[in-house]
Amino acid sequence: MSTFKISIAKQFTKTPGPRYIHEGKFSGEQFRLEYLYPLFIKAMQANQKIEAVLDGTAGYGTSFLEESFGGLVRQLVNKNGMDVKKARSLVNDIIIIISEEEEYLKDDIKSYVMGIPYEMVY
Amino acid sequence: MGFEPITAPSNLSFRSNVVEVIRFVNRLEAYFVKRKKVFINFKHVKELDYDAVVLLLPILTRFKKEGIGFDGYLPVQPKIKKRLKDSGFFFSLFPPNETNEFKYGEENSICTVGKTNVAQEHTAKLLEHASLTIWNEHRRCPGVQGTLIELMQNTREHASLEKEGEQHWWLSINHDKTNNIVRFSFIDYGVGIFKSLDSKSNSSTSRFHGWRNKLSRGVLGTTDAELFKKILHGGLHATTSGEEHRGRGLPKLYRTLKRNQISNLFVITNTVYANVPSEDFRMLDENFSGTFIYFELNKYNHNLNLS
Repeated sequence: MSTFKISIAKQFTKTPGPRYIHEGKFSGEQFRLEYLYPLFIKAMQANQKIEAVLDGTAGYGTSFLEESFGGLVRQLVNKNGMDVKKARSLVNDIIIIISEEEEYLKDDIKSYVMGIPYEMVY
Repeated sequence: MGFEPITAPSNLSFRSNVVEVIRFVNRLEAYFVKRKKVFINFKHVKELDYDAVVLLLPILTRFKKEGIGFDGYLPVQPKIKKRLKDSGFFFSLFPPNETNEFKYGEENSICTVGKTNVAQEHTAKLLEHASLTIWNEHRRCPGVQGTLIELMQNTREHASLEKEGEQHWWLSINHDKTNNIVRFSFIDYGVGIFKSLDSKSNSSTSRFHGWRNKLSRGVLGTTDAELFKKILHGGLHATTSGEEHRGRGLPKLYRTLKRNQISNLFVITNTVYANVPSEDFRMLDENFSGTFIYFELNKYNHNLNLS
């Protein structure tokens, strides 16, 4: 089975920014709407995985990553009418986070997707 | 109408002389509110830290913008006078180009001022420059970059009670080439973390409703300093419900310290003083209306090759 790949540094920006589009350039919301969501729908329909590569950027604020990946769950629930448990499970299953430079970001993103409070992860 | 005289504390360091510096800042603020001109006497200043400089800049900028006069004596001690001049204080207060918000490439130190948007491209450049002071080559510091984004974002979301994004943030970056350390002082003159949370707790539908009681688990007499420690450790996020995706900024700051991505983290907000690595969380006699965050980056902190 082939896998879709998306590299934030190579395809979006080396300087990811705030949560929302109105807060500044290269926001998590913009990344989700323009890149992640369309690719996710494609992967879901093709029954494929997505490798999301976080390495190579200047660094991430929590808000960018939460809005990208946690926001994807909210988008599937609010816009696509998906059950929240199913949305969490699908996003967790389909998206494989690659983060060799900052390994802990994998756990961070898992907590955003699964809605787990910090103290349960750390 | 004459100038109101005001004398700066002889130790003008926010971290080591916190209460006196807050009193000084609050007096300046009071004169600003009354639209009175001030004459600031820095003559007897014997200690000066860049953290105090970045504290004064926003206030004096407001004096300038409102056309309220201010003047003063420079410190007498040559070393202190030089430090004030080298800090970027005067450049930031009287920039040659009013639109020039960022200044890169200074040998000693720089002051920057941000407006309403999150300016991650600028902070990435500032960090590249900082890495030269520390490692003698360009490096990436994702922990610091993430922290600065978080702080800018928090200023937008939480600092002003009036309207999101109204308050400005200020950042001072001081390069200590002798010790290969870069010092970051971030300030927003919003209302401070506790006043912001209290204002949000008034509505019964707010996720912060009753936050003090939940966080203190009903223990009477829990101080704001103790609550702040719990907030840093992620307690606020865990005890409030709804909008789970928000409010992760302070715990992230704490974890950045624990992961050795920054060093020597200090936070001063409202009546709370926190020297985080020393676990020294104290209550202050004076209220600081805003949030001040200080941290350092040194050669032992986590860093990466430029990609």
